[in-house]
Amino acid sequence: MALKRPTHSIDAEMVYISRKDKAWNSDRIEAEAAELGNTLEAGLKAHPVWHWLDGEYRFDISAEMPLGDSTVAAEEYLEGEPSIGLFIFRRIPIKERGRLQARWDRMIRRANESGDTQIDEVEFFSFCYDAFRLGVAKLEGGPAPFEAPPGRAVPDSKIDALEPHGGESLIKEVGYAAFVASKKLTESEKKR
Amino acid sequence: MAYFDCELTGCLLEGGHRLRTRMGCRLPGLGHPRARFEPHAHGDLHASQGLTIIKNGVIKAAPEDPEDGCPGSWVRSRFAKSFARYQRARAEGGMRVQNPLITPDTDDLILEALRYFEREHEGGEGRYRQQRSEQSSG
Repeated sequence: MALKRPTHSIDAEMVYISRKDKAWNSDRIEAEAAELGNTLEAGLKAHPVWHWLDGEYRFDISAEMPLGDSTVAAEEYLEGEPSIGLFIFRRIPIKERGRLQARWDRMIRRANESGDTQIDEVEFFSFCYDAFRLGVAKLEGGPAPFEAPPGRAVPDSKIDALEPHGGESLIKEVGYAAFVASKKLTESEKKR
Repeated sequence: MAYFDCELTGCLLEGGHRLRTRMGCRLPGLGHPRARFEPHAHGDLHASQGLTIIKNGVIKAAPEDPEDGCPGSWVRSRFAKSFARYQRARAEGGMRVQNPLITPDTDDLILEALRYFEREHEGGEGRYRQQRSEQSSG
């Protein structure tokens, strides 16, 4: 299968805006998605913003993403300041990343072995919580901004303060994205 | 980058659209190049740019998968350009010259990319030397 040319920058600041944030121009995304797939769901999955949120561009908000004959950037789809805030990621140190990867692999293996492809929810939340602590450097704006102490994890109190604004699902979403932001070099980044 | 000079091939000239399609160009603005992509044209590109040296028997380039598109668009990608400033030049004798951007605080991903790039670079040089030696002994 052909590799996709990486169009993000290796040293760009990694930022994340929740999928549920009102700052996303959902009217534009849905209108474009309607042309990309037979159903809205299929179109959304083919939309560049969806790929961006999945971490394909390592959360470089200016990365050029193909859309038909032209290119777009995730930042073009934002209207105003993010209501939940702008999460700034940092690379999870290699040792911790290795531990998280091992936990992730174990979760997937267990799910496969049990025959029920669902990941254990409690284990997944705990995994995302740890990835959040290690991989988020700062939350700018929104109702509960914070900044992690240099070289140290985000205190639990700061993460818990976010629960009223997005619940467990926000922590899972952002924690998982922080884990993806620290993934190893991809096949396409290596062109191999 | 000089090996895949898009201006030299004529890809960036007016009317170069068809040629870019043929080469499998992945630079923006071409739409869906895979529709009329001709993988064999990629080999022509290598030959025209002096990379496949089967004719004069000096270097054989590491194989590129034509399906990935023309390497010219890869070396011009934002990723490759952003990484270029972290690369370490080679000094005489093969040692790497220190790059002030590489410090103990440098991002792990950049260090990983640097190790990967240097290993591939050295592997390529090894293949080149081996071929030279096989040609001179044959």
